[in-house]
Amino acid sequence: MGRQIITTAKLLGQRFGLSAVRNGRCRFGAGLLLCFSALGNTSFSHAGSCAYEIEDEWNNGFKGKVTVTNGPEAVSTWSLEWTWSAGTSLNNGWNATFDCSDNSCSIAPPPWKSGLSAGETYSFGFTARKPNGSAAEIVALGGEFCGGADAASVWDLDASRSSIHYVSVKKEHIAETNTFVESNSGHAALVGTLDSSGAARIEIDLNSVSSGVDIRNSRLVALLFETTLLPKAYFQASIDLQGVEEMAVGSTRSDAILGELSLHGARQGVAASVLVSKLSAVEFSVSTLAPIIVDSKNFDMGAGIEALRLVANLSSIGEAVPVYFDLTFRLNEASSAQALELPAAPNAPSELVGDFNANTAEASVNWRDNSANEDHFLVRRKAVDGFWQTVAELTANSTYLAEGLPDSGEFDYKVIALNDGMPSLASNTARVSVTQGNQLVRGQNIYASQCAGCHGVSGEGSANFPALDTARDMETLISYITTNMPINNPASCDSGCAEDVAAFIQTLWVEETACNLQLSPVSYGARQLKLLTQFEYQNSVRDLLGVDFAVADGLSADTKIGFFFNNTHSPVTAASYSNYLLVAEEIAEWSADNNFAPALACNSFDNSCVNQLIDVLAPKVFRRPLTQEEQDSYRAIADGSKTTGDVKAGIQLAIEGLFSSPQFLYRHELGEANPANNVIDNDAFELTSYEMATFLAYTLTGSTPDAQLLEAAAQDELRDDSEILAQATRLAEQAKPSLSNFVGSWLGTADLELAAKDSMLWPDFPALVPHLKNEINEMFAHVMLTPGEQFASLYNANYTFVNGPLAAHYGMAGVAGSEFERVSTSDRGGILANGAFMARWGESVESSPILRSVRVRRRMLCQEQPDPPAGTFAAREQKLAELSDFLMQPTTTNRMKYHRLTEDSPCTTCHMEYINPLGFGMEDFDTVGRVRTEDFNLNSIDTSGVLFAPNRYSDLDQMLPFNGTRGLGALLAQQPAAQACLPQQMFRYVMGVGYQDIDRTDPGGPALVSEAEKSGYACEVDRLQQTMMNTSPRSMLESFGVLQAVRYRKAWPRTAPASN
Amino acid sequence: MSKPNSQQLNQSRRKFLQTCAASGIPLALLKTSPLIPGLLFSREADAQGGVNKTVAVYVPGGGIHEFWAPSVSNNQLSMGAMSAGYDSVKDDCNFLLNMSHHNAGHGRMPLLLTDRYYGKDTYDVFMGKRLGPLLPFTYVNLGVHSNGNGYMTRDNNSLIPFQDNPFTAFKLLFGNATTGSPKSAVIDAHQEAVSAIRRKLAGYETERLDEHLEAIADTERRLASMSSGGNACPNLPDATDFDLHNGTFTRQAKLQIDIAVAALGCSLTRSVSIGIGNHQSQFRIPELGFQGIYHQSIHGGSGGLPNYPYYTEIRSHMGSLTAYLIQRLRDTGQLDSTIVLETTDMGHADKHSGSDVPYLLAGGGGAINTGVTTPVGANFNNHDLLYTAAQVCGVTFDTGREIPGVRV
Repeated sequence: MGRQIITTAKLLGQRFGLSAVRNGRCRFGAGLLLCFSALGNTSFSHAGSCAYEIEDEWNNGFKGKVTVTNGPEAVSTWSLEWTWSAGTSLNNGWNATFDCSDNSCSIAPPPWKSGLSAGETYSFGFTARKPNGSAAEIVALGGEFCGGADAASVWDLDASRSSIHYVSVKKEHIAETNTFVESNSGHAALVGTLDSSGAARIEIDLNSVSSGVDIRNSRLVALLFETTLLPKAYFQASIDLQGVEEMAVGSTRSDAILGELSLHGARQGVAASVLVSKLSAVEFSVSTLAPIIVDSKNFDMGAGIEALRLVANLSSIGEAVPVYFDLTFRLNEASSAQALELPAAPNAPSELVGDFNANTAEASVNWRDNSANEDHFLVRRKAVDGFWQTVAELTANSTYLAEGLPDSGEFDYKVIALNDGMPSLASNTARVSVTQGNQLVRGQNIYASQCAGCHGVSGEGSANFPALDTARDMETLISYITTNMPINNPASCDSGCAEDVAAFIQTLWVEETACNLQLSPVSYGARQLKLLTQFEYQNSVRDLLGVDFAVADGLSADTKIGFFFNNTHSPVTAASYSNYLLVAEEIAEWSADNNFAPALACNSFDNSCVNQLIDVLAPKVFRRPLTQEEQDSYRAIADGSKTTGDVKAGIQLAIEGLFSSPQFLYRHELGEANPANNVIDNDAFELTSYEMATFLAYTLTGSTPDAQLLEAAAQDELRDDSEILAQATRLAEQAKPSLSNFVGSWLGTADLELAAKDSMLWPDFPALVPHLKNEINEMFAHVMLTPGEQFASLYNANYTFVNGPLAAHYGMAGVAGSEFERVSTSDRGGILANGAFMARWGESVESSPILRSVRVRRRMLCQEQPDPPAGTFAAREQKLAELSDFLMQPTTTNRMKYHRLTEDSPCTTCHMEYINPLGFGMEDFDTVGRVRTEDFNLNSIDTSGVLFAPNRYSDLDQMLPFNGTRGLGALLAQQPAAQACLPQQMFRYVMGVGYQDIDRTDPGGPALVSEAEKSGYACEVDRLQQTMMNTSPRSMLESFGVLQAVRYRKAWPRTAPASN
Repeated sequence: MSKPNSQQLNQSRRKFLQTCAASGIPLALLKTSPLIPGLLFSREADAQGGVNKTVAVYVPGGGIHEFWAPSVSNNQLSMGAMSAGYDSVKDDCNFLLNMSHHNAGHGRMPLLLTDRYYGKDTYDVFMGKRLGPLLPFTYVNLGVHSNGNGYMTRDNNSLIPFQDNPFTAFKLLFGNATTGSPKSAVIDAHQEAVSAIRRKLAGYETERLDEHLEAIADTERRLASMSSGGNACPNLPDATDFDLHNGTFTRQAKLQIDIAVAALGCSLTRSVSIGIGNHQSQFRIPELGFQGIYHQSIHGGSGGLPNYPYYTEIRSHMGSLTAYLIQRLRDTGQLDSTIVLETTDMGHADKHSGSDVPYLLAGGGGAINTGVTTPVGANFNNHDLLYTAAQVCGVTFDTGREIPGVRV
């Protein structure tokens, strides 16, 4: 591949001629420098340009060619020097005399070419050795002959006294001035120099464009200039510097300059008629006498202008703009002065050819990469009579692009290489005949312009605009889009458009990661630092210190993720740390008031009491033995030395410290390496026996490990499945509080108080709330803990647990007193046909079929039922007014009411199938959880219902009719989705992360990254489900401790917090 | 929340000594602490006047423009049915009308006081760091009934849940260190322990542990600065225990407001945020006519009656809580040096609308026009509200732009 580098001066020299300088000088510098000196006939004069090309290259050598082109004055002698980097050396040279040692060479011309006439070109060549396998080195040509700057005199552009303006015209006759201004951070909009050869190089920061309107600036930058890859425009011209230097101060003269403008990936020669004013011996200005017309078409900006026109809703925007500039240069006499180096333009790509593949409906192009210095390729396309637009930004060394096009037709392609924003010339143009449009691309285009603003670029949704990244019923989706979307102009997307969009949306659906044993032969959980929840803290201080009053509500609020409180990822902040201290201070004071009983048995507060604290209590608090340092530091607090010798105060302070300590607050699951365990990977960790004791205790009992667990841990027995299972079986007997905590969160019944009832109708309801909660807790714990009980009983049991007040409320005979007992009934039973669930999701007077239905789908079937989208209720007041009489009529049932309220599009999309028929079938329970056959107005209750899409939200074709809540329960008991849902929910509750995500609702938060992690969790959920269905729910509960994802851990990666 | 037993009540009474006195940090430390000059400086700045405090209030559930926007005749404001609660302080307020919301809906609490989910301080933190960086509390974020969703405040990358237990807030701010215990030994032990865990993790989860260490250091600093010698805090609110359930929503809100006003008055902080409820509007106010939760009063709870009578009733009551804050600031002579803003998450809540969103500014001691409505228009949103409030304090917030016609 022939790669070459040509100094910018060559271009200038060839096109615009060169000016003279007085001092020929040869510069040496570090690295790759090629220096050319020339002696002219009359004075030192610089020559023209130099090109250094690599013509051929092999593993350990290359062939090079240097071409020098003299300037406009003849020279009598010249020479050349360069230095390669170490390892490269001359092998053989021709057409010149080479004097080389190591990697430095001096080249003298052969006698017959010691002089060069004006404009004469001369070439010589060589072969060189290079380190094996490295790329042949390209020598940048420096020195003033080759266009390099004269180190001594550089003229700097004075940005504060220079400006470039252009005038844009919109709507045929409204002209607006635009310019480029210094940014707030002081970054100059214009940077430029003029070197001693007269080469002017100016960089224009396009991000600094100022049109006077912020939004317009940002549109110009994004749509027109496309500054992400093309942040700068470059202007290069040659100025007759000698002529300027000879001007008298105060004089002016007009001049014509030719230059090249590089803008938006295109390069174009421009000519300007300018006035040069000599301001002082070291300053002059150059300003336009007549505007320069820059035609956007020459810079491929037609499409950008069209985009601007559309977004600003304008009838027209002028395609060519007059540009005015006024530039002031000032001589920089500092020895460090350097001319601005512009990025070197890459060689143009070539041999572009295109094709269309009818099978994939994709056009493809490929080309030859001729440059070694490009950082990107731009691929541009235009319809034959359209505008060029950038269709792809590819990385260096790309040579291929395939894309689908929305419509058929003929399209031209071209490719441009970029080096730091400096474009190559464009490649040849290739034409592709597209015979078939691509539906996904059409859909993507429509989605990007009309849907992504609300639903997110990846369909992640925002605010009340539902996420679209989970599977839906396609037919419903298409008809919804046709009828209702986009929200502000629903008629604009017809059914063809809707099909295109829906086809694209389908590609956004995130499929769950299923269990894949190739991906996760062993399931590893994440190493975790779980902070105790309030529930766990309260239970722990009860068991460790005997605290018998509520203290944990003084801690900072727990984080709720999904339905569960979960501090797996919560930070300790200044406020929460202070709260830990305050709560610990309170319980330490209480404990001291009780002489530390029952935690310590001290007759007097002396050293032996301190020993008891350090040796007996503290290991229980830390759930492991203390290290020597820990013993020392707590002993030094407890022994009274910090409390003016008062040992009791010291012990109190130490207790305060223990109960706000990281060792107590983090129930960590970190594990340690275990080389002896050949099941696990080298980078895996195994929970220690103490960590396993802690896991089992908090998971099953919601509290700190008891003595037996700590003893088993001390014997290091808890790395063995049978020992772990034996402990789990023992602890399951104490699992009711933890299970109650779970079910209360899962079904929301822990907050039953929130669903207050009308106090005129049910004055006693508040008193019933604890009993209602206890009923569902008893029911759930019974199914989960009774050996031989089955999952199905959760939904279809024909018994429940009531006490006297509850039995009276339900109208059941034969139960009295405050104790709960199991009773058989055909009215109720399980966690659905249950007073607490039905009352929790009811209104103050009437039931709420909507709330109940959505809770069944989200919580019991684990399906995503989206929230109602924003702004779709424009006609709410009107609808309510229209229905006012109907709603007041005594014959109007709750079912009729909700049907009418949701009977219009777009409500119907979710209510017609997913929500209403499911909720209506549960109308046989009133809002306080009693079974009914008539409503308040003695209308009989219609309990017919339909469960649509029971197992997949997208599967609306599946529908299961049922009759009444118990009928629904019988269905749920058999549904795979319901059977999978409980293990999924319990997995999140126990593990602190979901089996597919950490928190769907927090787009910036940490997220699961590794597919292997997700696959491992999916396998564990499958195993839990199998255990539950094949053995019993209790077996599933006990099996958590022997899950691989519990016992074995890895430092799984998490996404870093993203800046939105 | 369970009722505290008598033991706890005794504890509380003992703790609620109305002083912010010594915490037991050694005197030598205090004398060499760089915090003391900072405290003195801030007191001096206080004496110089100007608007140097800010309170951001979040009221969920927007409002219906027709019922919320006050009308004006003869330069007098008449409140609407939904804004009646502000009547007593209307002349201290600037009611901003017709504005929009950058992203209306539920679940927006983390984006009310900033425009980013990560990497930025929210308004309350941003302002606290500029108005009172050396005060014992850079910012104080309080609320009522978080229901697990009290996330409005972000300190760089950490979401900080609002403190929805007023008794804990009271203890934290005013009830500190009556035992004179030398907590520094305990704090040192904690610091060592966090560092030990951090070492064990070898780079994993270190961000959280660094935060923990920072929290410990921050607390140490605060304890030191609060013990700077009898910073007597007069007029503390009555923090007698009561149950923190739905029945006491209003009482909780008022106590939180009293605590905020006292904390500002004692120069414990310069920036407070208060969330009155949560974005799901899962709370009820039983002393009102409507007995269901706020959410239900908005959606379908009107039972066929026109004009959303129950939504109106609760929203007006919510406004009266902001009004109570403004009154308390006025009563304690702080209103002129404080800018109060009230923000929300939507306009008409039954439509989850993003337009005609009700906001207000209050206080500012003549720095803003008050006793007026400002027809701002849909080009301005909740972030512009923050920017404008910050400008009143001479601070340039990092998002939004100034709402014209508000500042004098």
